[in-house]
Amino acid sequence: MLNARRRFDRSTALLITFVIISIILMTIDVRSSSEGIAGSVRSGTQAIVAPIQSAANAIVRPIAGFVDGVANLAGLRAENADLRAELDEANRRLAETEPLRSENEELRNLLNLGSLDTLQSQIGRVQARGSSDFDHSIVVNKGAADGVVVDYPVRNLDGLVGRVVSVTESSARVMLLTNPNHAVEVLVVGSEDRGSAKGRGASDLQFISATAEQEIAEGATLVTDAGRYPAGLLVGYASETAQRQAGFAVQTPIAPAVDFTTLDFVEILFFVPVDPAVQLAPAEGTS
Amino acid sequence: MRRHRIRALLAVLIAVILQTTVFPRPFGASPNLVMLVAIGIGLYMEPETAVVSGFVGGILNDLLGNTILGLWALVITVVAYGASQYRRQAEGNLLRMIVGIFALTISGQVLFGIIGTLFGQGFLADTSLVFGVLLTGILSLILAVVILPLVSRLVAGGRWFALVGPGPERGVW
Repeated sequence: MLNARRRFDRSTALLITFVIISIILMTIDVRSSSEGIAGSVRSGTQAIVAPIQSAANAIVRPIAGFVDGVANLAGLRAENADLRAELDEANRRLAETEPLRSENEELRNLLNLGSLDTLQSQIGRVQARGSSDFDHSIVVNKGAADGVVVDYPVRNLDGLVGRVVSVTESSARVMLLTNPNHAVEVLVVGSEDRGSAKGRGASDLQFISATAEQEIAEGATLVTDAGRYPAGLLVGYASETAQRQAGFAVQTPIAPAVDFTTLDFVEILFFVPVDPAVQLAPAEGTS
Repeated sequence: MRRHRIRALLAVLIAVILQTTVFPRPFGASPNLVMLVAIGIGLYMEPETAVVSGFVGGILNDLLGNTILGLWALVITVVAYGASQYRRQAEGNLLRMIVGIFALTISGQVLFGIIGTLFGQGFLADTSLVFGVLLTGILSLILAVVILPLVSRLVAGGRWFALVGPGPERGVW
């Protein structure tokens, strides 16, 4: 009994000590905005663990693929048919918009602006995900050695994924659009309405605009506005119609174009916003 | 005993590595492997080892993630301590074990959401949070059927596949 009592006391004392240490660490980390000592320790740990994570990925990835495949088996046939229809529609639209694309390219050249297609970039592969469902970030296997720096935008074939928030020699952490601490300036395609799209975790993004003049129709396409990101990257589609009401900002959920649960390959764009106006890094080829 | 403690820390380290790799995410959620291993250590080893393992696992989880440093450390330490205190109630009773694991996992997630929001992380802005927390709890419970016997075997010399089997530390109670 005495033995058990002593053990209980020791474990309780340990618990209290660790809780206090944790609260101190949290306070330091929040006050230093994840930089300083906390940021250095985090980068160091990431650099040490990165090779182990790569090796673990080689084992886990096929299992993850199998589990996902089994979980989605029922919907695969229908999804396949839908995708074929979407592909036909996309090809038709592509043919229609080709003249506009050439014209856009010509105007960009005249204005001395680069193009997203000619922007220098690095293709990376997802090496690790956030440590929980609350953690909306990924780690990709490209780092400072590949020319990646903090704040570079990241996209995949579907659209904007997020931006680089920390870099080690061989890896980079990317904050996803869905992160509650992330917001991106967006433009509603087909109108002059601008606003911001804020992450809300696993839920859809939230579009907020104090200046929108028109209604945002369900299905409206939203792309990045010039600024921190290059203009024109697909962000998502309005999930609901939002009407402007006097005195209130227009708000509507946005379904992200990217499926963040199945991210694999991503493209890190070497984009440096030198000026608030659109500025693209010189194109020297895509690696 | 020292060897068992090192094994406990090793189990936590493996769990962190697996959790942060491309771990399967059925239905968009993933089980909380690190918390599950900490619960297992709490159930099968002495409370001090559980608390230390929980803290180490939590800190590593924080360092390899993008959340505030110390947040997971606090939560998993508390959960591991809770598991070690619950052990006497769950001993030899499978139903109580299941209820306990589910409750501890859910409590840990809720605690994480609340403290994280207090520290400005905005987790509670996620409208699908309740669904996500419940789903994580259910997935963790399913994974517990595999993980807990492994932890029992690794850290306490228990029998393979025995979810409620006796461990060597039981006698101290």
